[in-house]
Amino acid sequence: MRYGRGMLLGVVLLVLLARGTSGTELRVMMGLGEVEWQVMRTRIFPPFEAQHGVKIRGIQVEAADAVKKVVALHRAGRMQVDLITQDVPLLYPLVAAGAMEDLSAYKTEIPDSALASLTPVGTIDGATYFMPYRPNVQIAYYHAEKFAAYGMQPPETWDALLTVAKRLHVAERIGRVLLHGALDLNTTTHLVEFIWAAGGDPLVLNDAGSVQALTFLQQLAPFLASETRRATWNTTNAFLATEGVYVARNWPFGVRLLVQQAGRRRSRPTMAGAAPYAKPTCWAEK
Amino acid sequence: MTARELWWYGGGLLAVVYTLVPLYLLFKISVSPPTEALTPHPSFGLHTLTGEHWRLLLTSGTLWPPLGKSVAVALWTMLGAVGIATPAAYVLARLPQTWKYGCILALFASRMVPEVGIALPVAVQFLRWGLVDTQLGLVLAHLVKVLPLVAWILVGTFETIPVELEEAAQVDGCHRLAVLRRVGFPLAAPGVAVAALFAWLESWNEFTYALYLSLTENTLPLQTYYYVTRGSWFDAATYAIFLTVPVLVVTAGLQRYLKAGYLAGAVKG
Repeated sequence: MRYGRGMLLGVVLLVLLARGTSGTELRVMMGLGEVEWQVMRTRIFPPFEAQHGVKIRGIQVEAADAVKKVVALHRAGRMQVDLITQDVPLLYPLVAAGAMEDLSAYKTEIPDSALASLTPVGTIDGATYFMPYRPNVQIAYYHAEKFAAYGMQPPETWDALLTVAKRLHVAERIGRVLLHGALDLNTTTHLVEFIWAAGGDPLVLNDAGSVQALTFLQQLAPFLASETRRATWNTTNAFLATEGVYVARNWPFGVRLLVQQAGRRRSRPTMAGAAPYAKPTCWAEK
Repeated sequence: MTARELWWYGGGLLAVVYTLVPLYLLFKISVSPPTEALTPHPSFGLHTLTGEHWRLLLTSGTLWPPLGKSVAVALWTMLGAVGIATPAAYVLARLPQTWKYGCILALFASRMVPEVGIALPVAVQFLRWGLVDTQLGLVLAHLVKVLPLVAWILVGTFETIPVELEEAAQVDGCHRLAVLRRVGFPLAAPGVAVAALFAWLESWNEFTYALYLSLTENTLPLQTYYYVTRGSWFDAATYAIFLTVPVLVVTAGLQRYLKAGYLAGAVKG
């Protein structure tokens, strides 16, 4: 259960917009990297198109911009998008703007194979506006050479993370473990992951789990990389790529930069983190 | 060289360095292999060069459509802004002071509110007219943004042209339109060049309206934004260089029209 709740943070949902499709073309708005689009166009879209007799047109729009665009199109009465995938924290503005269609009647069509924890977040004020799509799981990147040199394994639990942070701090005289610590709109999301992992409720905040999570972060803080204060989902790849930090979690699309590009200069990839190298849920579990 | 000149030259040199270093760094990253850029302490100089990022950019198929759209939109915005604002500014410049300033203030009314405040309603109206993914939509949206400032620049320009010159031309037999064509507009050319350059640059770099009004056909700033957000440093740097080069070319092209002192001695005091 904890695992599932933790995954909710990064979940992306498939959203059905009001005013149906344009004939046999399905216009889908997503925020993806080039590699991800390639996977969509070569592996995901073709079987769907063959099965349902539609042609999918992919439209690249970042999650935050998607809200602006969809709201503008809706207000203009010129909706040109049929489906969008959207981050959970940005679902409500779409509903508040009246841009979403009530899909409650189709709720029964959600397959059993969908992650059960994804369905409730698509329901707002009693109506289902969003269908489960996919969890967006962060993966842990770690500097394989350094870990090998120090005889360490990638951390998979909080205790292991604290141990690694301390050892790296001693060995390198500065912190090399990075958490997303920039104080911005996403800070809540970053903290909630830890609180949920400890069984806490962020809406209560002073319950046992929340206290445990925040106490752990307090213990970890002295051994974190200084870049933590500037670390967001957008800046973390750069810190990893320039080897300012040795361990951090971020979205999988950074693999191209961190493994393919940075890895070229060495005999083997050293900034690892894709599934073969570390558990994707690294230290999400307490 | 006096101390004053030394300060001026030193300050100028610093300003040039401050301006050029970011451009140089972008260029360096765009021609550097990962081994050179992705290190804790990257060097400032160029050591190992690679054309790989440029090759990927030029063959990706994601460059030319946005580039073409941006060039066309910026060009039409520039021509539209100058074409509409020049005669309007001339008339405004010749109005009595009170009327003139009233009109200029009215022109600026749309610029007095933050762009994000008016971008959504303007974009919604344009979308209602079916102008999504069209060059016309973007040109009109950009004109909303640049016309007041271009008109303001040109009012200032026409104000500097003495009325006596036009009167002299009329005495020599020119009718009203000929005065404008042969005296007014040629003398205003430097100001028109500044206004055109400004309109072009504003349109070229414009992001907010492009974001609202583009769905599948991006402009170059939107495409660069995509690579900054989703791509690697090398993609982002290469696209950013490509975004910058036309600016340099247009600025250099229009620079020869930017002259000072062209009216010196035109009228005897």
